[in-house]
Amino acid sequence: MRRIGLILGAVLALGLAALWLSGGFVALQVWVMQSQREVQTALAGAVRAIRLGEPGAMAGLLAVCFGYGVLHAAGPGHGKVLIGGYGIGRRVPLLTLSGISVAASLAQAAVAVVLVYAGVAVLGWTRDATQGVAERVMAPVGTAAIGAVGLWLAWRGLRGVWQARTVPEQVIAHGHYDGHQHGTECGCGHAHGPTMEQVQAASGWRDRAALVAGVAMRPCTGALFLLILTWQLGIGLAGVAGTFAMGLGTAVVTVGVAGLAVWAREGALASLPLGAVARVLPWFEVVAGSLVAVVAFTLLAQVV
Amino acid sequence: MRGALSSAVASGGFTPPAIGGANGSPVGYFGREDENLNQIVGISGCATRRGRFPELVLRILVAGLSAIWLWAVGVAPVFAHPHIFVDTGLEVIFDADQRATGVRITWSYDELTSLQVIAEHGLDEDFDGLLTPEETAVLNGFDMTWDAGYPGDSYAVLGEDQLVLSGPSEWVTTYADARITSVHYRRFEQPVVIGAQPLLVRFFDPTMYVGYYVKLAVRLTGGEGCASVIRLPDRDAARVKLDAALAALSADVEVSYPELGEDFAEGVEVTCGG
Repeated sequence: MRRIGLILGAVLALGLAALWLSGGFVALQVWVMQSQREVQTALAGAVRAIRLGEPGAMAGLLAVCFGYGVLHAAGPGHGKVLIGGYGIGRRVPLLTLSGISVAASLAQAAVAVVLVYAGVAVLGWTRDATQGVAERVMAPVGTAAIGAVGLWLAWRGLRGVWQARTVPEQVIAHGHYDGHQHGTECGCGHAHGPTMEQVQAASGWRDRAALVAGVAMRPCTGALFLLILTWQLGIGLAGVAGTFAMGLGTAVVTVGVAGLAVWAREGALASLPLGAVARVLPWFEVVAGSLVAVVAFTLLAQVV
Repeated sequence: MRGALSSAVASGGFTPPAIGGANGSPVGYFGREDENLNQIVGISGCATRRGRFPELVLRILVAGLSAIWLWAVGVAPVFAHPHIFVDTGLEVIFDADQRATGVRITWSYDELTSLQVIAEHGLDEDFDGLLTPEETAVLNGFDMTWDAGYPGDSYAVLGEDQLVLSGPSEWVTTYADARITSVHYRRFEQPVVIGAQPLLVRFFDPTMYVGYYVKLAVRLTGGEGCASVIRLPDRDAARVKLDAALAALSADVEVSYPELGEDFAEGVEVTCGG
């Protein structure tokens, strides 16, 4: 039953993705665009209410910002490509990947706060200058970082493919759970399939740091806008709180993407005969890593 | 792209199932480990029967990933536009000979843009929603300093002929109900006789950063026997065109956002006689 659930999940997730992309979700896209104006009006009203010291204004602003975060994350974005690609490519548990998604979204908010307060408040940059730095410097650097993570995943996947091919079948299947890491030529007298090694690596701090940094490097323009506006109006702290609320809203969607990715991956793996998992899994990583890299570098080429 | 991915995965080889190993067991990803392990032991016996299924699933996987790529690369910029929403009104002014001499255009900015302009200029310190006459004077003309060659986002044609509009003049800016409204006048280079050909005035920013919507009053001053009607774009067709342009964009590294604002433009058509 569980296996059927997993396979259904994979088909559902990918069908959803295909539908989304092939235009089946145009209505959603149009709705997001149309609601942009309502969201802007609500945001303006919430900021004015805080400036006027109206009761309950802070809760109102946080709610609007949270909604703004969800709405904008519903569109395509590098963070979701990276989290989704990683979730498909690596055997990372759902909870871990969700934690990474939330951390990345909050880090993205923190980067926006630091950028605005270092730039506008300390260095006296104008709004245009600050947004220019975000768009022309940080965004390309962040995109390149995401592309690099994609290449790194693909490379690791290729290494796994090679290892899986050089290891005799019965050794792959012998089931070795001590979980220590070593290369194929470590001389310890037996070889491991790549899977446990990957499971170990998936929870490594370097992966987490790379994912969080890749997403966080690209501050969201809506957050910058809010931070500068509230700073100019003398209600900066409200802006900072609103920015983190936006981050949490974004996290809702990225956690959803993480869930779909894990579901799709486990569903695909569940449909495989057990012995094939070790051989196929590195290919997941190769394909997902290459995809992340292609997306990132294509977008990078457009802005540079 | 799709082809390359497909062949990459296909060459990964979905060889027949190996027998019974616990290697790679999906432990602890969704639930309790013991439950999972039981499942795995339980299903390993029927693995051979499902030998052909993985390929299908992986094909779906590849299709999904390709689609994500198209989604991320192809559709992304659409969400970014427009950022500024401007409710627009139009007055067409006629002379005694029933010729159109110029247009008076009203732009009413959305509340967020208005708030941003007010904050940026440090106006309305007491935040009562009212500007002093001095502050109004500071604000006046804030959007009327146009770069050379900027066409002003208003375009007039008589039939097929583009009409030349002067730069802005007689501008007035007000702030009320949390919105900034600015009015400006633009003269036709030559007075325009509207006869067999209708006059069409449209409002658009080619890059779609600003969206103009004809929601305010449309008036004809003079021009006996003339009538106006609001012309809305074929949004579905415009969207299809934009999507195609965005899809092409990813292949060409040197292009910026497609300048298809005209396809989304709202406007006012004026006919006389008839």
